[in-house]
This record gives sequence, C-alpha cells and structure tokens, in this order.
Amino acid sequence: MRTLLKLVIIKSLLVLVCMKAVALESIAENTLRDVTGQDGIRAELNYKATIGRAYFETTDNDLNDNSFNLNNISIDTDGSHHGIDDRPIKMDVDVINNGFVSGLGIHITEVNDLDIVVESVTVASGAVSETDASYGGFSLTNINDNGGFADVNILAKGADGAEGLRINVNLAEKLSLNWAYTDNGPDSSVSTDDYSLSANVILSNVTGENNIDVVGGEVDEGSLNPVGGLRLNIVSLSGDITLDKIQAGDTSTLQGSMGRIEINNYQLSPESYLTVQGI
Amino acid sequence: MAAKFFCVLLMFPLASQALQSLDDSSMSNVVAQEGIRLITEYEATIDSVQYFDDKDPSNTNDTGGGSLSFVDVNVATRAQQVVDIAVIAGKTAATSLTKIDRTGRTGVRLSSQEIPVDFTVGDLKINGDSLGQVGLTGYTTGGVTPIIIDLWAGGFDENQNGQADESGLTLDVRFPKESSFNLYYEEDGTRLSGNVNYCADIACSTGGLVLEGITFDVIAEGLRLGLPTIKDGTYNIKNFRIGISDTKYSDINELSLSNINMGSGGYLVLGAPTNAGETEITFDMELADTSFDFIFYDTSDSARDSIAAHVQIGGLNSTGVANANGKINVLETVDPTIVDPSSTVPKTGGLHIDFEAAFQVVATDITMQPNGVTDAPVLGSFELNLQILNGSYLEVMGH
Repeated sequence: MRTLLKLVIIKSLLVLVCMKAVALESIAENTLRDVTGQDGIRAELNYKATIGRAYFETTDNDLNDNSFNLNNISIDTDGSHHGIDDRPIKMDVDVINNGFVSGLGIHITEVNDLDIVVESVTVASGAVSETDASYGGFSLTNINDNGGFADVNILAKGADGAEGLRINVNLAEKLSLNWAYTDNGPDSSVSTDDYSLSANVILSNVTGENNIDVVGGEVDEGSLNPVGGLRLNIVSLSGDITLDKIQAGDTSTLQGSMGRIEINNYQLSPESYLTVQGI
Repeated sequence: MAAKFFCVLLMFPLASQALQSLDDSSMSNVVAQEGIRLITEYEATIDSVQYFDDKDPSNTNDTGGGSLSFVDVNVATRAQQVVDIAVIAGKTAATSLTKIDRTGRTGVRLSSQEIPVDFTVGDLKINGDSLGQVGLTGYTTGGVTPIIIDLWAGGFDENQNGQADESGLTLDVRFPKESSFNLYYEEDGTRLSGNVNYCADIACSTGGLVLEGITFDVIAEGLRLGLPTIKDGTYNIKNFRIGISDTKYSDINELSLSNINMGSGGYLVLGAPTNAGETEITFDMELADTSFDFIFYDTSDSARDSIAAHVQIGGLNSTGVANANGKINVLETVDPTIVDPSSTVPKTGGLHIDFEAAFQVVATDITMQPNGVTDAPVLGSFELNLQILNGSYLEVMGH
C-alpha cells in the first residue's frame, strides 16, 4: 500500500537527477564561503508536473485501511511563463569540506514564481474515491526570492565521530508568496462555490540549523514504551513572518482586508527536539 | 477597568461536559493502532505578534490605523510531550471514545496522555499602551486518560443534505475529567488568577469536557466557525483570587457552572469589508439556546455559603435565537492632551467594536444559601429581554 508513495518519490528523484545540469563559469569566492575549490554543478530547474496522489495509510483496530491523501499536487517553477519563456530556478551544488564537516552545499537563486498547489486533502476509510470527504485544498503560489538567494547545506557529522546529518537552511532575506486555503463547495463540477481564506506572506531572515538522526534503544521515561525513530534536534531556528491582506469568502464583493499580522523574531530554543516514531 | 473586564471575560471561554468514566478495555483503543508518535520538548519565544488595522490614506471614511500587540510571547513544554496521530474511521456514539456518533466520517485523531505546555504573554498592548500580562500555565490532562482531538474531513452541512460532501473541518475535542489549568491577568504587580477544572463532583469521579462539532469553513460571507454542541457540561473556577504574591491575596470565592447545555447550529462568521483598501473585521453570530446552573460560593467553611440560579440564554422574547453582529476595528489613539496638556477631553481610539444584539436571559430558582442551611427558599426569577441597537459600541484601550 505504500508502493505508490515510493514510486512517487523515486519518480521525483529521477526527474531531479535528469535535470539539465551543466558546468558553468567559475563561481566567485565570496559566494562560496565555506566551499573549497570552485568546481561544482550548476543545475537549472524548470519543472512543471502533477502528482495524482500522495498518501499516508494506517490500519485501525477494525483492520480498516484508513488513508490521508494529498490529491492532484501540481508544482510549477514558473507559474507565469510557459514553454521557452520559463525562468528556471538556478542551483549551484558543491561538495563542502571545511576540515570539520563535509557534505553538499546548495546555493539557490532566481526563484521567480514557484507555485505549489494541492487541490484537495482527503481522508478515506477503505478504497479511495473522488467523493471522499475533504478538508479542502491549499496553495503556495508566486513564491519569489525577490532577487535574493537561499543556501541549504546538508552535512555529515562524521568528522567528529557523531552520526546523523546537520542541515543548515538560510532562506532568502525576503521570501514572498501567496497562501490560500480553499474550501471546495459541494458541486465539484464548478468552482463558483469554492471560497478561500488567503493572505500575502513574507518570510524574512528565516534561518535554521538542525541535526537529524535515527535514534533508538532508549526507554520512555516512566513507561516501558520503547523510544526510537527519526529525531530532529534544533540547534537554532528563527525568523519573521508577515501575513498581509488577509481575506476570506467571496472576494468579488468582499474586496477589503481583515488586517495584517506580523510575527517578529520567533525562535526555537536549542534544546528543542522532535522525534517521530511508529506507535 | 476595561482591561480587567476583558481579563475576566477570558476566564469564561470554556465549558465542559460530564462524561462516563472509561474502563481500561476501552482505553486500550487509543494506543493499539497504527500511526505516528511525536515526542517533543520545545521552547518557542516570539518578540511580538502584532495585528494591524491598516488605514487607507486615500479613503477618509476608512477608520483604523491602530495595532494590537502580544509582546514577549512564550510557549514551552515543562516536560516531554507525546502525541499519537492516526487516521481513523468514525464510530457510533456507543463505541466511540468521545461518545459522539461519527459513523461514516473519516478523520485524523491526535491523542496524548499529557500536554505539559505553558503559554504566557509578557505584555498585551493596544496602540503601544499596556493592558497587562496574561498567561495560561500548568495545563495538565491529569495523566490518566488522554486528551483526544478528532479532525474530521468536511465542515458544516451547507447544502443540508446530511452528507459530508463539502470540504472543511469538523473538530471534536475531549478533555479528560482530570484536566486543569491556571489562568492569570496581571497589571502593576497585582495578579487576578484562577484554576479551571472540569470535575463534576468533589471526588472528581465524573466530569470532563467535550466540545462536539466545532466546524471551520470558508463561505461567501467569510470564515465561518461553527460553535460546539455541549451536553450537561461543567466548568469550575477554583482559587479565584487577586493578590500581589502567592501568599498575599484575597479570595473571590469560587464559581461553578454545571449542567451546561448548548444546542447545535450556533455560528460565528468573520469577514472583510466590501471596499478595496479598507480594513476591518465584520462579525455575525448566532448562539443556539444555552442553559446552565450557576453557583457562586464560599468554600472557607465546611458548608457552602452560596448564591445559585438556573440561567437560560435564548432569542429575544423567547423567539428566534440570540444573535449579534457588527464590526471590529483597532483605531489609532487620539489624545487631546498632546495638543493641550490641560485638556480634560478623554483620549479615544483602541480596540473598537460596533455592534447590535438581541437576546434574552432568564434566571430562575434563585437562592441564597447561608452556611448550615440545607434548604434555602427560592427568591424568585429574573427575565431580561435585551435589544442593543445599531450604533452601540465598546472601546478598549490601554493606559
């Protein structure tokens, strides 16, 4: 039952591997920072695809297969252009070794109009069908780095004998996008009864350092439940979020805004962690 | 005073429902299924969360221009938090852990034996003026039975065909009877506080809280929140006190609302204004018939000195349903003393709520029972039919 999900992941990875990847002119030292040497890969990602369904499935006490489904996922790296006018996302990929850690460094630029849309989120008990009850859909559209860049470093911690990965993420100084949750009406053949809760979102100065490891063998304090799974340790996570022009309902008649919300300097303490495991 | 009134309102947002105690065999359903377990500890800090009512400079009719701020927000676990997540099929009321009939529905269940989370706001401000500090601390499920949150796909039945064929979210929450938490509001070193619990009797052998059928939808008029259905609920505030420290305080006695019943069909719709560029939050709400037993009592003696009544809230003159509508703005502060320090004209602005409402409150079986009296005579009844007309407003500001 998880075969389809695996196929989806494998298919996505194959697409990424098959991207147009060419060696380009040398990269300026000041953009490489921790990178030793100037060799590397420049990938230009021009991607427009749909995924029919991605799902998570569990079995309850009555041995029913219950699934949580993301339906009709579409990803477009440039939603406002098509064909030869597409503006690909550019990524410089290098192997990093600064003497303490080593891994991959990915420098991402020219995110101009990335769209990610999930048409509906449904749950099903038993066989999946188009009439399953839906939570609605959501979309992140017009994702734009506003001329900035994002860095993602995936580092092995093996240099000091530790296991696991260190993932450092620095998003563009100002990453803007349009967020919407859509409540689909009862008539699936028309969109006139579909209404959205939406906002213009700006993520500013978002940065994070996290350790990821597969852990096990510990015992939950006060119980005999074994603890083990994928553990995410927060080294640092901080940033600012602005939600502007919050609207809900029929925006052809309700054209005003419900206001603007700013979340300034949120931080997770370094001792924070999340472990995901099976029940 | 407005700030204190606001805080006291914060103390009454929840209601509870008496539940049957669950035996061990039924509780085993919670953990013996496939799913994901999230184990986490965290501390999140936020310098400020601010709501801005942006004013359109080109529109002289546009009000607003103010801000509402939550400063120094902290959300943190006191200990390890374990949450189980599973996709489930709805069951009958007899077999469901929440005792709610969700046959034919499918959803996601979150359950946890303990959620040791504290939430505090270091300063609540309107237009930069402080109202004080607020917090919810010491939340505990009691560690005996889990808190259950069921997220069912599909919201309220807009086309009234009895099927979940529209998207949206229906939320059922069951708080165990052992759960409790502290609420406080503090200003200038003086703290008003209370401990909320859901015990239906002194031994807490029964009780709990079930909020049934809270729905979230987006409709043409805006964001629609369906109010929960409550059956025979209980809501208690103990250690209701005001003071300057844990040892220097005055008790404000204790308060209990029992046999709380709220019918289905209540809602709150939040929307935006019609004109582009303007900012405000419009609201329209209906409250289904609601009733509860009220008792305000002194527990300093072995017997309770109390004031009690049975209260019903319904439509005006017993027709229709209780309703209210209006709009919310945060207006910029206008302070005449800035121009003229000797001015006695009060400043205006802040959180501004224009509203109209119509409802009825009936209190029956009113009694005052002194200590040692077991059968106090009924004083009578009280009926209030209230229609608040358009043009009424409430303005809250800091100082």
